[in-house]
Amino acid sequence: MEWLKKIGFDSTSMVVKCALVGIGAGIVNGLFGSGGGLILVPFFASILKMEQKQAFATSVFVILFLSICSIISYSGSQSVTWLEIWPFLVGGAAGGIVGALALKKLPVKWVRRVFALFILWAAVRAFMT
Amino acid sequence: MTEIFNSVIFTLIISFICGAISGIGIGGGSILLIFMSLILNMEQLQAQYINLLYFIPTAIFALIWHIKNKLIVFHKGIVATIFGIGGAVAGSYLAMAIDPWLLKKIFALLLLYIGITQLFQKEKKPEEKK
Repeated sequence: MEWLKKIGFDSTSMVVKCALVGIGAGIVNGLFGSGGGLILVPFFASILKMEQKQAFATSVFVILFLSICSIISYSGSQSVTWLEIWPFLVGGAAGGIVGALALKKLPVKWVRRVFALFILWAAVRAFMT
Repeated sequence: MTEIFNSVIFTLIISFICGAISGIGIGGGSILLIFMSLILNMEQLQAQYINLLYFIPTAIFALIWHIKNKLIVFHKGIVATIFGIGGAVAGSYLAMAIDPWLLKKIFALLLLYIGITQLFQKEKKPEEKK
C-alpha cells in the first residue's frame, strides 16, 4: 500500500474511516439541508486525527461539494427564483463576515447559551406543529 | 409594493442576524433554517433548499481564507467528499420521499441534539492552545 502513503494515508482503515464519515455527513446534510459539519468536525478531529482548526476548515471544503450535489438533487422538486432568495444570500453572507470579525469581542459563551435555548425552543415547536 | 419592500428588508435583517450567529460558530447552520421553517412557516423542504443555497457563497469566502492559511487536509477531505456525494444524493432523495410531517419531526430531533450540545459546550481557553 505504498501509493496510499504517497497520498498521505497511514493505512487502508484510515481511507475507510474517511469514506464512512463522508457518507454519514452526506446523508445528514442532504436530509436536513444542514448539519453535515456536526458529523464531520468531531470525527475529523477525533478518529481522523486533525487539529480542531483543520477539522473545521476541511469540513467546509467537504460540505461545499455535498451541498452542491444536494442542491442539484433538490432542484427536481424545488424551485426558487433569484428574486426570492437574494435577501437570504446577501444578508447571510454580510452577517457571516460581521460574525467572524466580532468573534473576539463577544461573550461567546453567553451568546451560545442563549441561542442553545432558542434552538431547544425551536425543537419543541417543531415537535408540536 | 410596500409589503414586498418590507418583507425584503425583514428577510435581509433576519438573514444578517442568522449569518452573524453562524459566523460566530453557533448553531451548526441551523439558525436560518429554524427561522424559515418555524417563523416564516415555509415548507420544510423549501427551507432546506434555500439553506443549502445560502451556504454556498459563505463557504466559498471561508474556503479562500482556509486555503490561504493552509488549513485544509486535502487527501482526507477529497476521500470524504467522493463518498459523501453518494450520501448527499441519498439523503436528498430521502428528504423528498418521506412525509414532510415526519421530516419536520426528525429535524426536531436534530435541533434537540444541537441545542443540548451547544448548551453544554465548553469554551476553549486561549492558554489551552499550544
